[in-house]
Amino acid sequence: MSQLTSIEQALLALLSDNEFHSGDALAKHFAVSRAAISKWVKHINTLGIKVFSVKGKGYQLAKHIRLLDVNVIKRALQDYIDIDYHVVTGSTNDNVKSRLASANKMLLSITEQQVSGRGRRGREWVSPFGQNLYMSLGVELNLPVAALSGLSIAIGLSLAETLVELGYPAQLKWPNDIYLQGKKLGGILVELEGAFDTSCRVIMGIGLNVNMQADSIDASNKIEQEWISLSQFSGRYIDRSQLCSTIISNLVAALHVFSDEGLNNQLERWSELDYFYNQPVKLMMPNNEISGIVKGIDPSGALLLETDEGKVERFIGGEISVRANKA
Amino acid sequence: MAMDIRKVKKLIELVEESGISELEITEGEESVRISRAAPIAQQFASYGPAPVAAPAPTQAAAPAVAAPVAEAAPAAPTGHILNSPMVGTYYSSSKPDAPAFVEVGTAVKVGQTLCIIEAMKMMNEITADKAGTIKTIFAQNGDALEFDQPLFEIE
Repeated sequence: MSQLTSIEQALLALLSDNEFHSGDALAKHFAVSRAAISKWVKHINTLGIKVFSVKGKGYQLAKHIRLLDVNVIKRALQDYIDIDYHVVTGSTNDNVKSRLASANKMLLSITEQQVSGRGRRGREWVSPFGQNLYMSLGVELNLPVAALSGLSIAIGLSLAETLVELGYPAQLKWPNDIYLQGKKLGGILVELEGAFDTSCRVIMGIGLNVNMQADSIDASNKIEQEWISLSQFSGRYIDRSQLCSTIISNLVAALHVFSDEGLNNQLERWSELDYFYNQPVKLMMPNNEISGIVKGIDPSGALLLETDEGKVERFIGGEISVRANKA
Repeated sequence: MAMDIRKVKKLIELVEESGISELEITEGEESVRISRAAPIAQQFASYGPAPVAAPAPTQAAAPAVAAPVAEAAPAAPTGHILNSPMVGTYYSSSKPDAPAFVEVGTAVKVGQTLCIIEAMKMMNEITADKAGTIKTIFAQNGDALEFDQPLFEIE
């Protein structure tokens, strides 16, 4: 499965008005044969992007797919962020990584579909075409890596609070998974570079389920946990370009606050949005697991767990899993 | 100390050359044990309960005889030591089923990824700060690392 060529991406952009386009008109537009158009459409379909071909009418992109309006995003953010948009790409984190060292501004990579989207420890992040937000923001922070403890928390908190302000009662699972009505709505993958320098490069990947519906996902792309999208919650189609701009501008503001004062004034807000606050959970670590009651976070962002012995201990690793006895 | 440092150094060299993993020698009241095993991954306070206290000595009947056993570290490293810049979990590869970034004997360039350290879902790519050959890998996949804990010896 190879990636789309730039001309195939241009074809998709043309089809994103959701109207029918005849093979003749498309062939004329791109100055190629109708057979070439048909070949491109076939290739596009192999990526799971549904383009219908109807005899006598032409080609049409599946409904509910409207591409991002990059101009909306640029107008909102380009004063301080370079925008890197691809119709289809491998991974937005990788795009930022490859360009960040030589960038002189913050960098945002955003796409309609990731072919090799990933989550923690190389897990796949299912990225159906044109429906969700898949984006990565890269910044250089004038902090050594050791001072970045808690950044993960600050990023998740910013995203959850933005969603709450927009009317979605999002919650957080430590350190920064986004939940809505107890189901996974989004995830964040932070990668750091420059561990031995005085400043370091931070790549913040955000995947957020926006307009995805149950039938958006191929059987081969099953998501391994219960999920929800903003559109499933609200029953409405959501403008991703506007949403992207709001999330990123709020995130940049949150990064400034974090650089200045760390998590000092965020602990209560965290507890308010913590899906597992005061709940019994298991913390799964590479070599063991620990049961306890979630008691929020400490100023470094570490998870506080009251263990079965009644002691509150802090953890910086591991994944929270629901204990069987959670109501 | 009766057993002088030159003697200990000789013993370390002897162990190194022989390839045996551990050597314990008792001389009068002094004893020394030299072990080549990689340092055991420690449990850190930030990660969980404190390590279980070492069992109390059982030789209660022999008061004030046993001098402290000198736990000599593996032969003093001669190469460049790269220490962990942060507290976190050590991963030797990009994902669980992927091959390790480096093995003992791998030639590395400056900037080449050696491992990933994760803290609170932040993935920190640790890159070589010196070119050379990986001589020792001190940590094991999944270990809980402390700040400044040695990770690699590069020579």
